[in-house]
Amino acid sequence: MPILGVIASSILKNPFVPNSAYDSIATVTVGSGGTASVTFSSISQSYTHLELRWIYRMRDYSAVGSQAYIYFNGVRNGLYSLHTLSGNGSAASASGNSGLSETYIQFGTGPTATANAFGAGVTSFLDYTNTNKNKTMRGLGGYDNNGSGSMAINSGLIPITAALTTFVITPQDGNFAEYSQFALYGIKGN
Amino acid sequence: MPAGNTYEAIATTTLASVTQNLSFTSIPATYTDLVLVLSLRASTTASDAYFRYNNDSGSNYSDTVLRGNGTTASSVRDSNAVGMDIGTIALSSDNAGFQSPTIIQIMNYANTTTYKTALIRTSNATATTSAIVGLWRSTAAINEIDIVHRGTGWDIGSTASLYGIKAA
Repeated sequence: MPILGVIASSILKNPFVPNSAYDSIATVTVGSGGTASVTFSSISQSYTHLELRWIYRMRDYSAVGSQAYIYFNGVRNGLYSLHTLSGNGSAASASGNSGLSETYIQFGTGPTATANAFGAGVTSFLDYTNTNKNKTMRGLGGYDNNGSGSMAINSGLIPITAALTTFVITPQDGNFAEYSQFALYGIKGN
Repeated sequence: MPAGNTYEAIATTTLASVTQNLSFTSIPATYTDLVLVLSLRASTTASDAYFRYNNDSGSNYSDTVLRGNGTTASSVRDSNAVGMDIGTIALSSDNAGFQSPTIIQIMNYANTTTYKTALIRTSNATATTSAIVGLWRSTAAINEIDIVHRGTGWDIGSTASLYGIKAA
């Protein structure tokens, strides 16, 4: 292998993901005009968990940092909730929100952040095809702006017992900026 | 349709000697994201370590850290730094065989239009657990990652594995 500058050994399987158990389902990359929403519909029911890997920047929301909203199956029933542990470079804080019409994906950048800087994250949706319980999501995400920034760990309740088939992601205001990207992956069980 | 085999091992290494700079070079640009899985231990009690890209030693990195030490949660940041914080690593003063597990998500590493953001999760079970977001202010595609211990180096037995994730 030409990859390593130090001692190379045999390639190992990923200890966290069995081979061929992690599939790319669909990816949306925002074009030059921006977009007011990103939708994944008719999501395959053949996986156990879903993972959304994202980078985003708001085009219109006038702030350095931002958060995106996400709801499922067209349901905005005011029963979503979210708990967040975050740090802003000076202090750590915790917050909880309930009675929400959608839950959040935290944190991206806004138009006043350094040009070309995007927030990033990985959000997991567990047991999304189960029809006997509400669903739970968990996220790791944040942005840094060389002097400001925010890092978050969160968990959210998705108050839907039906299998999740559609995700809609919207910006805090206006449009997602060009080059924002949302990639959805499926993780198989045994 | 799923592409299949979208999460692939690129390379892995286990240190057979103390090494200051653990490098992955000539990284292919054929993936969307990279995942770097580390199990590290410093060969001394020097705790200063970082990672950086493309052999860029300029002050082009910054990060925001969220961490907890069993008593207190706190947050700190680095600006205009010469590398990205990797979190609290295991030191030679820790119990024998003890290493700190770290997973680094490097998002959209191959594009040439955005600055690069990484997410780092590190734990040192005797001290601190951290979640970190880091920024490299460059639009260049990442083709090299250096994990640098600023003391004498990473200890024998430290491991590093690099994976690529392909989006549809």
